[in-house]
This record gives sequence, C-alpha cells and structure tokens, in this order.
Amino acid sequence: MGLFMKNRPQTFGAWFDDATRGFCDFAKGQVREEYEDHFTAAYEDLRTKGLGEEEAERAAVSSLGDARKVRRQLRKVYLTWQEEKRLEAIGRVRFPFSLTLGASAQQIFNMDRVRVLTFFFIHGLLIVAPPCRLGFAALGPWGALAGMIVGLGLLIAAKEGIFISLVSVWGRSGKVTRTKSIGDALTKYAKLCLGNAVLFGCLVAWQSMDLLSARLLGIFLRVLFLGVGIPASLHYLRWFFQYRSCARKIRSYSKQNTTLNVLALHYRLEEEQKLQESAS
Amino acid sequence: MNLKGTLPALILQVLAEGSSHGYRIAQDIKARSKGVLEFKEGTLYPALHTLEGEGYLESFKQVEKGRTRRYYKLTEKGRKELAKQREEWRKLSGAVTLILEDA
Repeated sequence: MGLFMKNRPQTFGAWFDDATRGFCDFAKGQVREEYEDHFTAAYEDLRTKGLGEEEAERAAVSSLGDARKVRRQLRKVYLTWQEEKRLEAIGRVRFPFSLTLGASAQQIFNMDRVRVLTFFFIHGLLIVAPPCRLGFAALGPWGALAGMIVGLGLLIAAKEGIFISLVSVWGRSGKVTRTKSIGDALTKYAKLCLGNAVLFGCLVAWQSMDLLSARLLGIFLRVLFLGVGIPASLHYLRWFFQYRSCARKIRSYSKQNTTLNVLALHYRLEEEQKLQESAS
Repeated sequence: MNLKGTLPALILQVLAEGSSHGYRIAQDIKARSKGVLEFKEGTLYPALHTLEGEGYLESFKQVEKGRTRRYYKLTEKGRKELAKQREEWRKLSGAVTLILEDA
C-alpha cells in the first residue's frame, strides 16, 4: 500500500501523462483542456477552504482518481496512437498493389471507355476520396469494406490510379522531415527512394507490355492479376478485422468533430504541409 | 458507495436541469447524494464524451471568469434516454426493495 501511494502521481502533469499514455495527440488535446480546467477548479476550491498550495495540489490530483483506471475508460472513447496509425492507412492507397492490380485488370476487362471518363474526374476523385473512405469507415466494419470495394473498383476503372499512388508516395515524404536523428532520416529517405524506384519500374513495365505478343501478354496479365489480387485480398481481410476495433470510436469522432477536423487529424495533412514548408 | 454503471444516468439527470461543465456536474452529483455517492472525477470525462458520441449530449464552449470552459447540454434524444433509464431504475430498485424488506 505504501509503495502504491508512493508511486501515485503528485502533480497534475504527471497524472495526465499517466492517464493518457499511449493515446494519439488528438485524443490528448481533446481531453487535456477539460482535465486541466477540472484540476484548476478543484485546486482553487481547496485553496479557498484553507489548504496550502502543495496540499491542495495533491488533493486535487487525488480527486481525479487512479490514472490507470481513467486510461482504461478513455481507451473506450479515444484512439491510441497505434489505432491512429492504422487509421492513417485508410486514406493511403496501397502501392504497388493497387497500381498493378488496376493496370492489369483494366487491360483484361478492356475498360477503356470507363477509364477515359474517369480520367476527367480523377482530380475530383482525389479530393473526395479521403472523406468518402472515412465516411464509409464511420459506418462500421461493413461500411469500411464497402468503401474499399468502391475504391478498388475506381482504381480498376481508372488507369490513372498511378496518380493516386504518386500522391501516396508524396504524402509519405512528410514523415522524413518528422524524424529525430540523421540515421533515421536517411533510412526513411532510402525507403522513399526505393518506393519511387519501384514506382518507376512498374511504370516502365506497364509501358512495355505492348511489346509482348497478345497471347503472352494475356498470360502475363492474368498471372499478375492473380499474383497481386490474392495478397491484396489477404491484406484487406486483415485490415478489415483490425478496423473492427476502431469503427465505434471513428463513429464517435465523426459525431464530435467536423469531417475536416477528423481529416486534419488522421492524415495530418496540415502538419505535414507545415513541416514540408519549414524543411524547404 | 460505488456508483458503477449508474454514472451516465446521473449525468443525464444533472444536465436535465440545465447545461453545465464537468467540474460542476461532479460536484452536483456528490452534493445531491449528500456525500454517499463517491466517484473519482477523472472517470467523468470519458463518460461525458461517450454520451456525447451517442448523441445524448451536446457540447459548446463558453467563457466564464476569463476561462474557456466546455459546457454540456441534454439533447432530445438524451431526454428520452433519461426517461427510459429512470423507469428502469424504478423497476429495479422496487424489486430489490421488495426482496430486502421481506428478509
């Protein structure tokens, strides 16, 4: 008991850090203001009752309760950073899965007309895609799955899925600037370069397909479609089960915040833009 | 006394009488129960945010004594939920009283 008491946080800062350990920045920001306000009000009340500064602070912190129990309660409402990381993936199209799958499928199924039509709307699609996917995710696991199917369908229809993939790679570049050490930055930069090299390789392969005979091309594309389709399906299946745990929280987020706020949180676009600007 | 599971209903009841902020809600619950119901105030906010997420409450910010505070108010859906929970509590407490008074 004595040891337990000794380990209890004595200051509000320590208590708050303990209660929100493992949560994403957005969640911490959401609750910090309220807990701070609560603590200040309790502290002021205790001071007017005649308690000394230190005693009042300790009592105000103690009235908030066990930080671990609060953390357990908060976990039911807010996302941990791990869950947030998974959510970030919603807005990112998997590369090169989507690109290769889209390219080979549209060749097999001869969807040129659809492709031409979607080409004109591709920029619009890029703008609406993240909120749409988040909206689908907010409907729960089945909604998220429906969103993925729609997204995949669009990619298959639009050869210009390559642009989406480019945006995806570009989006990741923000992470390089967020790193702390030079070694870490170099590793991330190398990964980014490798990603771009793969992208370039796929582009070259894609453009060279016409050099193959029709029969060979047909076999090649079917193998490619199956070879990419199966791992992609497995990946999305795993994704589906992972998101089941987050779906309720996403719904709750959507109700508490405007779509724009949610997007700003999950994709950290603003943060990434600022970091990129400061880096350049 | 532990009020496990009853906190959401108590919050709804306090807010049925007007909008309020977290600290005042906590103090209201303690004062009205004349100190019988004890709870750790840190658990109040997850409960408030859950109720808000379910659409029973709405929140807004208001400046009070130079401090920006988040206030909560009951929605129509919250009122209906409160009536439902009150009815359920009446039934439950009546049944428990019957059993305990027989003993």
